[in-house]
Amino acid sequence: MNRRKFLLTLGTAGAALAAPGPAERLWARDAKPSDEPLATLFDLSKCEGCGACVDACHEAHQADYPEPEKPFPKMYPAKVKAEDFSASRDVDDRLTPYNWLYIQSATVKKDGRDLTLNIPRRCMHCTHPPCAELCPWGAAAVENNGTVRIDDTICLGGAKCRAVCPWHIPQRQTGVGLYRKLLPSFAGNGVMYKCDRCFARVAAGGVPACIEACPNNVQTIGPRSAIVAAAHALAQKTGGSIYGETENGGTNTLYVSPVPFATLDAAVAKGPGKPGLGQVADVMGSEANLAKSVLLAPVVGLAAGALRLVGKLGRKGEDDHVE
Amino acid sequence: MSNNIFPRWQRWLLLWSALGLALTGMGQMPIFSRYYIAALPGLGWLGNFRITAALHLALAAVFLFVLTAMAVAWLGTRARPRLPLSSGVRAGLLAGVAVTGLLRVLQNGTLPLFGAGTVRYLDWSHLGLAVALGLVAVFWRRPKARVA
Repeated sequence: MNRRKFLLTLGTAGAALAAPGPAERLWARDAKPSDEPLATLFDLSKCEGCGACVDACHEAHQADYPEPEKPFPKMYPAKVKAEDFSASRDVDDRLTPYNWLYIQSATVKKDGRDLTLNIPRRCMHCTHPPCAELCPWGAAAVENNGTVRIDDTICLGGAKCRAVCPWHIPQRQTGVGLYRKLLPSFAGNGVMYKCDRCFARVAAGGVPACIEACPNNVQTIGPRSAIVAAAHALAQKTGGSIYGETENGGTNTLYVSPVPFATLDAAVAKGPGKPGLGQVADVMGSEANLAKSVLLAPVVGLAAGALRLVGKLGRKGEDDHVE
Repeated sequence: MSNNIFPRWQRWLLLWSALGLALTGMGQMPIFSRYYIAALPGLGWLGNFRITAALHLALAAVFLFVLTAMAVAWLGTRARPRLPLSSGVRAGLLAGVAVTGLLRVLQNGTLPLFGAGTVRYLDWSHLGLAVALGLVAVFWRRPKARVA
């Protein structure tokens, strides 16, 4: 991005955020879709924790939630346990297959006074998501608009995506999905579920349900460069901190908080389905050099093979000459 | 004989890198932890996806280097032995596994050629070709090659 384009983007983003009306999107409804991935920005100073986004998410995804068949297949070996949330669909204080968005709360000290911040948590939609890039079955993939989705029709529920996700976001429901038709007792264990950023709604020109339902315009969606510029403008204006811009090599979900995220990370409840807000390593970035070696290896192999052939031909020529 | 076309170190490197790739490739699926293999002393790393993925890439670099060097040697040799069908199938499967693996690396990096709905076919092809190669290697014995 050149200086002119950056300033233009910054100005547009800043104007959108400063505007008195809703600033839920940084592009016009009838604008031509950008090639750039979409990202979202949470202004945590605005979130009151009312839960309207969580309710809207439930309503929008009722048809997407799993309906497991019971009894579950007997699993081998016996240590493989079912993960069943079907009887606790109303749980909304953590991520589950039936709750793709929840609100974390943290009470921290700021300027000597208690400050409670509410943090809507869901999939970060990483720019290089390990869940999608390491899924051996192709069930998790990145859409053109940057949304990371898990296809529930082919996911086998191995939960590798949860293991490699720095925030362990995807959640498993046993008793549903393709594994039941393959080797239900010996491979797979259900389907993994997580936020799909309302892919169908966005593809139809709308915005995610959580953004539409928020009464305080906590969240803004737009091309990633505009969202990053808006996050920086907001952080500069409020003296806040940014989370999600560089974590795990960059994500399409940015948070701006009036207090440092290390402080928030120490204050939030963490555990299964309750991700933290700490520093995380760039999972796929650490493999980038190895990936380059893989791409270079055939070229080096070709050169080595050709050199060996030339050497053999040279030796043969010398032998012929001696004879 | 083909053994004279390819130096011994290349044949051994190809074999061991292929075996390592098979092991770390299986490690991309959550089976070693499930079936207690990662619980065996010294094999805990097989249950760590990040370790097996990094090893898979490192071994793939070795494998591709040797495979292309051998391919050039083969194509550049005039008196090539006639390949029996089983060896031809092996070579085709090796090439298929290598190409689909390279495409997956490109997909994760700078050149995503497959859309979200089609990348699964790339993964399934890589897995299917690798399984077929393993089955052919184990169950379809090669007759001794004859010089043409």
